Amino acid sequence: MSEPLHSLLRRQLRRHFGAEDAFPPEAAAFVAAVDAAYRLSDEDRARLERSLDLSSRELIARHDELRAMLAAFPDVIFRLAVDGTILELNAGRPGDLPLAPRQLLGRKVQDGLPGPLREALELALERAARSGEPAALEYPLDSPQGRRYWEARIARCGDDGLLMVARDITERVTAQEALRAQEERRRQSQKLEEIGRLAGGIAHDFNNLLTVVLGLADSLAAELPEGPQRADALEILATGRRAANLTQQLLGYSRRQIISPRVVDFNEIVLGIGKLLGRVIGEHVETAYQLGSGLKPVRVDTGQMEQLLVNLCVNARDAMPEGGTITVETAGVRVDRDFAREHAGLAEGDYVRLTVRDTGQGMSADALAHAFEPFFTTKEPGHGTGLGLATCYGIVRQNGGCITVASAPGRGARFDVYLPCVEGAAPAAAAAPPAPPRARRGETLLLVEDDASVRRMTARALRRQGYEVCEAGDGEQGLEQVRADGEGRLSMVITDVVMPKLGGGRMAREILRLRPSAKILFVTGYTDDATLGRGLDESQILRKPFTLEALVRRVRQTLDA
Amino acid sequence: MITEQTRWTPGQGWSPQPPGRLPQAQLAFLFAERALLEGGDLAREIRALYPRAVVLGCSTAGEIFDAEVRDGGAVLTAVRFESSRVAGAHAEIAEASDSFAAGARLAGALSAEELRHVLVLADAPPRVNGSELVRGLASVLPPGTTITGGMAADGERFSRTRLIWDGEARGGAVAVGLYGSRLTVTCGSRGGWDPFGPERLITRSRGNVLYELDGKSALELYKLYLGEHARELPAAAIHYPLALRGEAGCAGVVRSVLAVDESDQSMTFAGDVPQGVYARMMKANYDRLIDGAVGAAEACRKARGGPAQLALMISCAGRKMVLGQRVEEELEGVRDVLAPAALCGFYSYGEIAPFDGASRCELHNETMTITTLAEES
Repeated sequence: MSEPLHSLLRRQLRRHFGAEDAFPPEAAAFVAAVDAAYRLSDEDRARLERSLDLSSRELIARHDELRAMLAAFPDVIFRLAVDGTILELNAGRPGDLPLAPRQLLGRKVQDGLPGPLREALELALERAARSGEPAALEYPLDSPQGRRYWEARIARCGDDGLLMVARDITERVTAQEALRAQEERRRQSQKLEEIGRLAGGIAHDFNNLLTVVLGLADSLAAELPEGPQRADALEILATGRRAANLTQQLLGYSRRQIISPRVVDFNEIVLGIGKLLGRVIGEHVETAYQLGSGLKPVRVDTGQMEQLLVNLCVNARDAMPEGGTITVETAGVRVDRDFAREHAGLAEGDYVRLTVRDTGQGMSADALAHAFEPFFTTKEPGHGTGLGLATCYGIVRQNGGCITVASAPGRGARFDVYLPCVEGAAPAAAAAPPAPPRARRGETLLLVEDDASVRRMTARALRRQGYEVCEAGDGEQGLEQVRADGEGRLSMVITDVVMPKLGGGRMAREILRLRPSAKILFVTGYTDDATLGRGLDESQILRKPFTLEALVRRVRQTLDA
Repeated sequence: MITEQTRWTPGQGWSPQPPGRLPQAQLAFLFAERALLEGGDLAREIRALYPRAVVLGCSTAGEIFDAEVRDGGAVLTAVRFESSRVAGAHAEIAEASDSFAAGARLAGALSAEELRHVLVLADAPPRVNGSELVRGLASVLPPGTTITGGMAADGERFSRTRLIWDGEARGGAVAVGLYGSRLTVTCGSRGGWDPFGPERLITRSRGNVLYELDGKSALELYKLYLGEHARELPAAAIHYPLALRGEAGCAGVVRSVLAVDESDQSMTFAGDVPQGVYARMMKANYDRLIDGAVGAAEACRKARGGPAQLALMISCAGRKMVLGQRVEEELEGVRDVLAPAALCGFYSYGEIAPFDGASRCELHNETMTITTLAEES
């Protein structure tokens, strides 16, 4: 049985001859040849189609493999046309894309991005497409989950396509920013320390000068009869005291004020100064107090804390010329390790947090960065020394705490002061009445001071009180005189602390070795434990610049002790 | 159910007999060369011969009569049901964007009671968006109502199409509801084209107008593949329909090219080509095209479980162009499966059917779509 003719040939024969076998017998060979040609053509076509079909399947399989590989990456991966049209994408993690992947296909990857980012991305796409060089950019993007940071890398893919890999680097950027902020705080803190040292040094020298000026002015005022000259002397005295006040503020900033820390309930300090604050702040500003209950006690210099509160409130008041509200809050807080790490001077533990908030004009970023620097002020010339916040900084640091500020233009300011708590209850406050000065004659004092002016002025004042005064220009001379004092004529030693050759501290230790019962009064503007040595109490120190009255009173107290 | 079939050819006139032997017919299909329908004389003649019938039809890219296909003539099939009923409606469509609303209007005009099936014919794009028309119909029809039909054609000219409704040549769309508890309607639709090459993303399109694939001119891509045959566009593009990837878990659809516009580098397809959908070019394989037609017929037979009395075949003009002299092999394949059903139909610019019995009704291209009717005695 012969094989049927090719279906197409059969159809053609039917059309031409009415039936597929109705062709003339002499055409049989021709029909057979056509049949063979049709079959050959079909075979060729079948081979080609099979090849095409297999290669297409392989192409799709490779494509699927590539997709599977891309899907394994947590990044968002785009295959793009050169103009940024998204041809294919791997969605990355849930929430990485603003729309469903299907909705993004066919859109341009840069569509919907903020203007500058869109331009930057277009530039990067264009550069990568043109040069073939990979391009990269980092950018923040706001999403419903908050601000996130992305790193995009773009590379040419094939002749006319691009591949863009977008990676969420929020964690990395956040960590870097935290590190940067920490470094900035450290740098700022270091800067403030350096400025503090400089300010402290200047204040110390000024103290010496002012000690002389005040002492001599005091003497003149005491000796001169009523008249223009005495008035001048009193004016010098008053001006000198104002200058002394400034140096005290500088010393406060540089943490070189002598402090008397006490264990107290911080709320008592706030309540105690409330009336004074009201007067200082004025009526156009409302003051609100929100004092936390059950605060643990803190060990602070109450005078400094009052100064801190006044300075912060005055600063707040000045930020609200049109009126507003100052809120003073206290609260007990727990400082954790992370917070402590980010804030120099803090350790993990319990703290009292004092917050002073205002509804004022706020500070610019620049002002914020310099807020605690001495002599930095945004006020008009003559309306502030620029030492208020600097003093706050020094006071808080000297009392073992930390101060932070947050502010933005038009949004007020908030200062937070953290003071470490101590265990136990705060003792009831007791006022210490000042000891009255009592002058006595016949006693010999050794005065050791390297500044000749100060030494002369001090010696003169003491002699005027009836004391015998021996003078020494430095510690070595002073020690020599003590050794030479065989009969024990010297009743006490008054010494400066910082001196060439031999400082007051080391000299005092030598004297005490020779005469354990020796009475020594230190005169200084510093409270540097390293300089003075530990174990001293306030009664052994006279702070520069001093008035003659203070000098005499303290000498008497020391002799009588 | 009784059918009467005849056809008109320029050389022979009506054959095997003049129409009008079944004057009681309730339904008459008239598929013809556009030129024969333009004046309306033929339509009016048929209307007069079947005064009780809903007469509908359209211009074609080839008229199917039994297992034969002819160009330039007309095919008439009249049906008289024993107990089933027929009701129809027509909707003008001024703009393609009105297609959804027109579909909804047509469906609204059909009573839902005992509605078994809806047949729909429509002008081809760009005058009608077939995808939207079907969506509009489905939005109003009772859930589960099957819809089949096709888009009119215009030979290989891809120019202007006509509809026949109520004895007049019209535009827009017509829908016919088939009613009756003894009427069984089944449908099947298959393609048989093979996708090849890479997937490309539709990066710019509007409705059924395609501009860009993978960010590049789609027309240029077609020209590259067509080579010297590019000068035969748009007809030549019928060799490369596009397979659109469906949503996850859904079958895709095939779209064939109807027109090109060099001025804006656009290609108009017979159905929607949505932006953001992946597409692959397809190529013809004779055997699989024929197998596809047979598969559609087998789907009808399987769904019915018994012989049909009438099979309405709507096959894509692209299949006819590609199969060339072998086109009747797909009709013969259908006949072999559905015999002794009477066969009629036409080559279209789009087919309307669910891909299978259960899926949503959609506009297809490049398929053989068959609707079979049977009425229990």
